[in-house]
Amino acid sequence: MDKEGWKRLRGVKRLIHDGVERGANFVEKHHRHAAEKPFQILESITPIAAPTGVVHSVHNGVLWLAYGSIRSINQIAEMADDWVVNKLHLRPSSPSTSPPSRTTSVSLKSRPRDPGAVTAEACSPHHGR
Amino acid sequence: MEGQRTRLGKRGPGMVEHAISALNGWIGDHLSQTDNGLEQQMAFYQENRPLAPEDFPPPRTGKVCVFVHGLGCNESLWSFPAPHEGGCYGELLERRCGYMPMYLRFNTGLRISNNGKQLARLLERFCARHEATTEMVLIGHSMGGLVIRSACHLAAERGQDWVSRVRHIIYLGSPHLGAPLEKATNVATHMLGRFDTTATRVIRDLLNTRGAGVKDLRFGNLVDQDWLDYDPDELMKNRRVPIPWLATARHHLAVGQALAGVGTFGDAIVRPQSAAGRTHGSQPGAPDGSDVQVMPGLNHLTLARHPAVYEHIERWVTEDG
Repeated sequence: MDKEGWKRLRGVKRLIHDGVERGANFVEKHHRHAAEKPFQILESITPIAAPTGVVHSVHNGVLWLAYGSIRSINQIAEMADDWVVNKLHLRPSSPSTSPPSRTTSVSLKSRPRDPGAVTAEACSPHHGR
Repeated sequence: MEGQRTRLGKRGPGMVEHAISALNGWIGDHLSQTDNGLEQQMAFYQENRPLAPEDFPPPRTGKVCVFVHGLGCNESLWSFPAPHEGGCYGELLERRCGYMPMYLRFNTGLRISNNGKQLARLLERFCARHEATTEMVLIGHSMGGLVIRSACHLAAERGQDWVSRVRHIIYLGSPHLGAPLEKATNVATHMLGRFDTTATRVIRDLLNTRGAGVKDLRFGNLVDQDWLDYDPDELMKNRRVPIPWLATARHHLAVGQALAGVGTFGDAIVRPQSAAGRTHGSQPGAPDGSDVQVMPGLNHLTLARHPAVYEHIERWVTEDG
């Protein structure tokens, strides 16, 4: 696989993990919103307000745990497949063997640039600035 | 000239490139923010490979034409579909008028003003390397036309040299006053937001993930001031700063008419008034009616690859002699 191929493979991989993370956040947000209304109604009925409050807290805790688990597993999976891709990229039979310096981190903002992003960069308007 | 590699090439973009281009159109700003390898960084492309401006051969005749595609596309947009012959506008312009074609590929999900800045820098690099370039023709389809206007405006403001070499700018279905589909999406997301149900909120949030470049098409934003510090999803607020048309170039506009005889329908994506850049009559250098060519029977995409449009392009670029 050439540099562009590796770059794209890493891009697809990252997009999938971004998708899982953002998808989990998105579904959690709407899940909470959907569940909020019935809880509000039930909590407004004085005789059952107290037990409903407990159920509400448990529900929110389970939500946090469930979606948090998805995000954690996603991060672990990303570290694992980063390791696999780096190993494959470094194999001697690989035609492009520039060692990838990238390491996985949790934050999207702190992620370093793809090592394969060389060809287009050389042609990009930022080149030579 | 030996080694003159100016054609779009037989080895054009394949399905993967098309998918990446479409992805860039939708979430290109996210790909850029996360440094994703799928981001389509702006570069001139030849034979499906990026080519630095310095690596182009010097234009034999001193004339070059630059092609800038529209939202979610790449340079394959310009290829004539069967049964038309001739390749594309660039090949015909090279063969018949001596223009060296250069095809741009870029991340259409980014702000138009950001792409304009990048294009201005690329053309500056090209002209710095190829000082013998005497004449430039810029051809933009849809969003590409807005990117060209943005680049020319920024370059003129900064006194960049390349912009003085631009003789003609051709806009093919460019939404100078905005695109109705983006406006409709903006209104729809606000209407969905008024219903406090999970389903409507999900649809609204999904629609609002569209790229900043798409949102720029709502009113045809060209510069940073049009969008900086404003909510990109605010309801139908036109904050465009009037931008003069490049005074040193002739502007030509092709307006599609998908249903021949039904003018208001436009090319099915852009309304005729928008494609013709009308209503901002007070803007200096605004093209008059003689610069606007209505193309009956041609839809938005066809404007980028139809022999009938090429005939007008050739007429426009050769009419000054």
